[in-house]
Amino acid sequence: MSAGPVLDIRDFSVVYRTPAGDVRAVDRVNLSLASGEVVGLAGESGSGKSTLAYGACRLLRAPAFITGGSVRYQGRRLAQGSQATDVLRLRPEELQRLRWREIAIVFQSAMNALNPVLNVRDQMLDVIHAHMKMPRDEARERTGSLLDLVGIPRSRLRSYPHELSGGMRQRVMIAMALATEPEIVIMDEPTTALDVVVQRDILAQIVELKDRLGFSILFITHDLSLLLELADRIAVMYAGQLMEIGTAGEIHHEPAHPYTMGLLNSFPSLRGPRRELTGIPGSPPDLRDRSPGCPFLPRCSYGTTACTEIDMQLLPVATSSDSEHVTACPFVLPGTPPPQVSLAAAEGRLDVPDHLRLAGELRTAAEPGS
Amino acid sequence: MSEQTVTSAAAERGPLAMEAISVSKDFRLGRGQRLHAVRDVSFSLYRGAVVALVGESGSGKSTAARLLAGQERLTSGEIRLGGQPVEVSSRRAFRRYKSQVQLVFQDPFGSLNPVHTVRYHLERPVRLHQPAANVHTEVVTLLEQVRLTPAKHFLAKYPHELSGGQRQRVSFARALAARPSVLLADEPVSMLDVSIRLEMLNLLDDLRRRFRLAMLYITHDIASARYFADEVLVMYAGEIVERGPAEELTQRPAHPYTQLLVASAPDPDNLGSALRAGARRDLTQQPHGPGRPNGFRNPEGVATAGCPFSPRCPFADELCRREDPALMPVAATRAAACWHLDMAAPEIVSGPARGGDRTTN
Repeated sequence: MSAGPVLDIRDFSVVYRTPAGDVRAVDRVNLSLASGEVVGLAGESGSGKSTLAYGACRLLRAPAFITGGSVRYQGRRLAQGSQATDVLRLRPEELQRLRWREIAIVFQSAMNALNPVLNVRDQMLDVIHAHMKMPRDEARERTGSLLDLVGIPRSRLRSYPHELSGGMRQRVMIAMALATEPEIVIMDEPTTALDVVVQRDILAQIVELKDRLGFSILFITHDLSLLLELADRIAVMYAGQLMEIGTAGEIHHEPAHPYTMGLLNSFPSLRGPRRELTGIPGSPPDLRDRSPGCPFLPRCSYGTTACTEIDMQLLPVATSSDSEHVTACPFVLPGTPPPQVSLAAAEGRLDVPDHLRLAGELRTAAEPGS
Repeated sequence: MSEQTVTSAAAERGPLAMEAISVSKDFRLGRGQRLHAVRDVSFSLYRGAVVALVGESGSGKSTAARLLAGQERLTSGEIRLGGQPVEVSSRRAFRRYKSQVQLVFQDPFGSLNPVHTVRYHLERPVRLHQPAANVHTEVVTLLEQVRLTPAKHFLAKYPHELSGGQRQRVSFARALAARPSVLLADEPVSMLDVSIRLEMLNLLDDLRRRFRLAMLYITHDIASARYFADEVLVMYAGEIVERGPAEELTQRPAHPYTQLLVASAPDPDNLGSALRAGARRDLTQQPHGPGRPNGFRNPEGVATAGCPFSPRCPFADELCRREDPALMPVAATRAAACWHLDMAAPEIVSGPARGGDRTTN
């Protein structure tokens, strides 16, 4: 098949219309997904990662509006010749053929996404009959083999969602997403609600299925540590814009954007020496009145006045050998130590409380009374 | 079962604040079935120290917190606060107890009343627990303590106008309103974004230090326990299977279940080796099979003796399936409940440990 990406999102923008003004939830995002690739989309809640993914499948409804860009899909089945499909221009019946058959989604909360009054088999049959032409017997057989695929005993076909554990429900969701052999599976925080042990089992299973069936994955999560292990490439999103894209290795070892550095410094590590954790002070901006320049500036310890004027564009990291490693910050290079005092704070524009810089060695400081 | 013979790693921080002694809690499920949610659990909380309770969902961590908070009746065992047995039978006694022991919940969306303002949420506990105080100044002080500043900006807000982190700060402030000596934090950060979590843990740590709180930190994230806690207790199917100083326990886990927990945590430094390079291999190499805690979801199975982890344990044998091991000391401040520590963690159980245990092998 062609070397082009299966999914190519260009200049994609989504707004939420509110009485108080447009919320620019996704702002001119470029992201592509190659065949068989796992792309991780990381960001805080409210950063627009789910809106981006759902918007690309046109699953949003008012007050969300797609205001620009294109989403080109080029799957093995759908594409005639080398013509890619623009998802944003599809008619409703074409869209229905695309959804699930070509792009399937594993939703965040399996508890709410499964129908509580249908048993597992009926929900799966529903999907298969809605999106594929398949004889009844074959479809029934398929539900069984799908459960085999995700490691759930076939006896569970008759179970209702409430009779399954959280991990099993999530596996059923994955099996349902795979029921129609899609080219792309979008996973929206599929393991967030699960325990680490179950989470690891499921992630391992996802990767194994991907290798066997050859689909691509867009994996959405706020947990960057998970993506570092799982994804081939990682896109870091903040306030509706992409801040950095790079391979998992580059993001981990040579993060170029201060926000990525902040994310990497936010989670305690279980292995290795105890690191100093700085976290990211402050909270995400209000997306209604977007001032020009970098949206991360109020929380950035590298910030300068120049940041209020930059055009947010993803450009290759100067020191990186990989031209695919791009960052929206033109000033900071990988490995630059943060200034002692935030420049923006020193200029008196921002109030950065001093407590936000507690060491990772939380417990070594001398304490009164002990 | 044997009394705890190890010293808590949290003990050196301050005086004893609260003790749970062989605490158990059964829930009746009807048809004569019982769910043993907490089984013979003993631990102590010390002023100015953090004890982390780590385990998967359904392991009984939250039930343990509710028992300590006086919200559930014990099936057996005893809870002592400041050396005195806890008595919460009357309303007045319960209120007195609550002014000492406060609970913070996981979900800041669910634990604040959507129709009340921040001011209302904080004024009530202040009036209840500190009748002499100037309510307004006290509320402002509380907000400043949890760094919701300027306080007047937040007083009139409703929960839906706050971010998740701010909401959780309000619940911390509400807990502090009673001026407690013990704070039970039930997954206080797990609903929050990764980037916010650190700030909240730092805030909790600051409050612990400032008010010399004895803190129980319940979590399923063992990595955060490493950074935040003095002592870690690992819970499985209602039992404490291992306890020890946070750094030691997370770096050299002794119990097979703790080892599984540690191995399952995302490991970015181990790029690609496990998950990406071949999940199949990863699954088969993993000595621990998937599964639920033994008999936990089907209570009939609980009555059968044996180690609750034995169905998933690579070291399990006849002895494990027959008898449930008690917590056995492996160092001055460490203990683990496993018959086969010599196989599971030979480097920890050194020397002439307990040779007699392996006679059934």
